[in-house]
Amino acid sequence: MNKSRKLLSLLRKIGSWKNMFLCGKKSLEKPKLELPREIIEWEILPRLPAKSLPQFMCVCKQWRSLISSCEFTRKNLHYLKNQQSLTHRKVIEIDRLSKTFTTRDCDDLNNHNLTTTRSIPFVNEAQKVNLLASFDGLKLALIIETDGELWRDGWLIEGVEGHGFSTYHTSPLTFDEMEVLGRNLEANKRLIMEYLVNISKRRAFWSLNEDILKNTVLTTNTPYPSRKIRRIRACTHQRPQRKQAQYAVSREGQYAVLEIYHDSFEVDNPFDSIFVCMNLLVLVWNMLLDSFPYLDYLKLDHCYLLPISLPELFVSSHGGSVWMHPRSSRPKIDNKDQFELKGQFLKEIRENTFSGSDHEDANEHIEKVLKIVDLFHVPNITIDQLMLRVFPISLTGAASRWLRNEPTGSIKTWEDLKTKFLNKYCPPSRTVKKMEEINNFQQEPDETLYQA
Amino acid sequence: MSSSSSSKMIELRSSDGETFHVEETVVLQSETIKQMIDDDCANAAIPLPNVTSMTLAKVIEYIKKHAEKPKDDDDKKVAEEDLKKFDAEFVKVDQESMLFDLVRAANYLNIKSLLDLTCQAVADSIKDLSVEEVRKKFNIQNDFTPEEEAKVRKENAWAFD
Repeated sequence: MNKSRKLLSLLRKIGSWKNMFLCGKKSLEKPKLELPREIIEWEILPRLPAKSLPQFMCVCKQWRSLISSCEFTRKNLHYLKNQQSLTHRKVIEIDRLSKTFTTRDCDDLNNHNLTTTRSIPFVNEAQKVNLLASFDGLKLALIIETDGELWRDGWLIEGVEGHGFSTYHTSPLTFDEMEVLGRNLEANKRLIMEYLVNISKRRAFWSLNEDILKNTVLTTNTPYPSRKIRRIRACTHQRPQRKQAQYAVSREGQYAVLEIYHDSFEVDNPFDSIFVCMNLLVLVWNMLLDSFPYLDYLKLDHCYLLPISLPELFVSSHGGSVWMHPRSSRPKIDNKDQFELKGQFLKEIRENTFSGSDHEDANEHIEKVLKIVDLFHVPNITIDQLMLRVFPISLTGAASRWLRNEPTGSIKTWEDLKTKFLNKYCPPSRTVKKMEEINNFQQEPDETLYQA
Repeated sequence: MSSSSSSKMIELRSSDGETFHVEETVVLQSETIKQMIDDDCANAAIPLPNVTSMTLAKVIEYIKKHAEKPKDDDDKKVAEEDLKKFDAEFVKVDQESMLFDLVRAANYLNIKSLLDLTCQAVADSIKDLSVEEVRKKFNIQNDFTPEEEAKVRKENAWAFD
């Protein structure tokens, strides 16, 4: 045995000399550094930390679609979870049963003498702690207090000193600060909120979705082809669940459709903790996508205290700059009267759009849409139900934005819509102005006749 | 290690014609070779046309180390530590081409733990690189137009700071 070992090491030595020689020759010719594409894409890229990935989306088109795919994210999270102990100095573990959390140094994972165990400061017997997310030594936990049927919730966010984020412009909380926070949770909700934002700022988003969220960002979609649309999904399970809510938000011509899926919480319960947490995460996501100003977001702390619906969150936080497209303001159609708009019909509508520019005539547009609607008879549907759906489709550009900007519930019937539309795009003042323009028509010195 | 003398030796031949003798128990870590042995194709030397002798020597060094079995629990702990240190040293290679060769070999021979180790090493080496450097390293053609690239960069601006 020993002989064969010696022989082998000798062989190896010879081999390496030979190869040193060979390599030297090779490098003179042409360095060969190529790896098969699938290894790079499925073995190496998913092992990268979350902070490098968005940057590498710019490498090539293939990488861009790859990195935003679901499957990739899952793989990435899988690796991040496994390597966490290697890349970070401290790990926090939460023990739900004994209600303690333990910190230990990564270098001494097996040395139990070096661990610090603390009880979670503001947890009593009636509370349950759900660990929601962890990232780079930060853990985000949801504390649910079950008091009969009433659910109350709170956030526990933990920071670890020196977990690699200290170089960023916000300073993470230390354990002692966390304990202060914990002692007076009510008064410090704003601070906790701020901290959550900080986490998001630190790309924690990538792992926040680990257990409770799954999101895909698609940048293509049909209804508004001219603009970028993102579809964001938030769901509590990996498997698709019943769709809970769908919202469209827009900001300066960018649209996002937020779809929220869930499996096991009450629809009408405003205190539903998971829903609250999704609201926040969706907001965080949106903030990342559109780089909302940090301070704007912080105004949201009251929303946290009293969970309200997503539309209200958006409206209250960003005033006029974010609009909701409230689906509920449309008159409901009973299931038995379900109707379908045929492809040809939609095509006609789309070909006759109104964008709100000067040369278009609002009155004529209404006539046109009514004519198209007339052509396609839809049984059992009132003019209100039909027109409130069809007319918005026929608007594009500024006009479409105007409609979305109208306050929720202010338009209930077709008459409402028509009046508002005409007031906006064919107001008496505008008619007078046009008349004046025509009367005072004159050719400017440097204008051709056509331009004038 | 005396017990292993009873174990069968397998002969491996690298792309440049060099042969290596490795115990069967050690070489079974490679799924590819395991398959060959199961299919009874391993009576003569197994040719490995995709692996150079230098890479193969490294791979054999790795699988030999990982095939060592600790005797008792105390030993196990030490061995684990030892193995960790060995792994960390193992991927510290002078030339990048060597690391890439190892990744390719691990992929071809289907040795999962080695593939994990080497891919992680590559990932660690590129994580702080700029987009241009990554393209150069993996020889990737930039197929964005300048406008498109500027757009994608803007979208992900929060990551570039």
